[in-house]
Amino acid sequence: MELRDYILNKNAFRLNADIKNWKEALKTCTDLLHTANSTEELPCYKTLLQRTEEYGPYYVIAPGIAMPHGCSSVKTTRCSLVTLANPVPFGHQENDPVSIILCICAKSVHDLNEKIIPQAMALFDNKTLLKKLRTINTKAELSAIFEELTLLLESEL
Amino acid sequence: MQSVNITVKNPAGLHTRPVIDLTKLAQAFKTDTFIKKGNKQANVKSPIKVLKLGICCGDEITITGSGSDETQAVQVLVNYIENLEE
Repeated sequence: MELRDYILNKNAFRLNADIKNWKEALKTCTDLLHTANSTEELPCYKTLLQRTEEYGPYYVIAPGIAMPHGCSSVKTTRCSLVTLANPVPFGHQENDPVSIILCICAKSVHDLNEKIIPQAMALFDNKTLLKKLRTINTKAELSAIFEELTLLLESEL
Repeated sequence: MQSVNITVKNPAGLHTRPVIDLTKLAQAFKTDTFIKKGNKQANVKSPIKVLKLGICCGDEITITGSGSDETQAVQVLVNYIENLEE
């Protein structure tokens, strides 16, 4: 599963992070997309800030959940996950404050719309997994959530 | 019940921002409206459930609604998707 593979294999996550505001949250999740030895340019922090100014925090898709994302000419689709010890407001009328941020930099629209986002939505649509995600502290616990998600997705095929 | 089949023509498909807008349009009606892609269906009032469908350019989808304002609700959603260019 693409969502799990990148986040776990590249350690592109921070759990229960102590983050003060939405800008710091965006900076943290975009920094996690950058891997060592990578020379690829990513649409990153500044791009997301510009989009937020232009469109508002549209990527706050549900109560407590932000999913900033975009496509780029990267070879591999990248994702990062940040959960917050203390939720922060993003300026969204209905869905603030945010405690889970999933950041996606996809190599194509196809990868984004047909693979990563449906996988992420299956996670966010499951109350049990979502509740666990908000409270975990370790990579092993995150891995266990992704295992459950994989089984869930396989059962829906 | 009102039901309309359409093909998604927007190059980026139904990505997050349009889905959020679509959800707001659907929420303005009493009728619950649904999008069906293949054998999966989602209530349009829930952005998470619609995004879960993974709707891309070229996908054939069906918009349905059943209720007092079903005709208008379905037509508003169909018009939005058919005129989407972003």
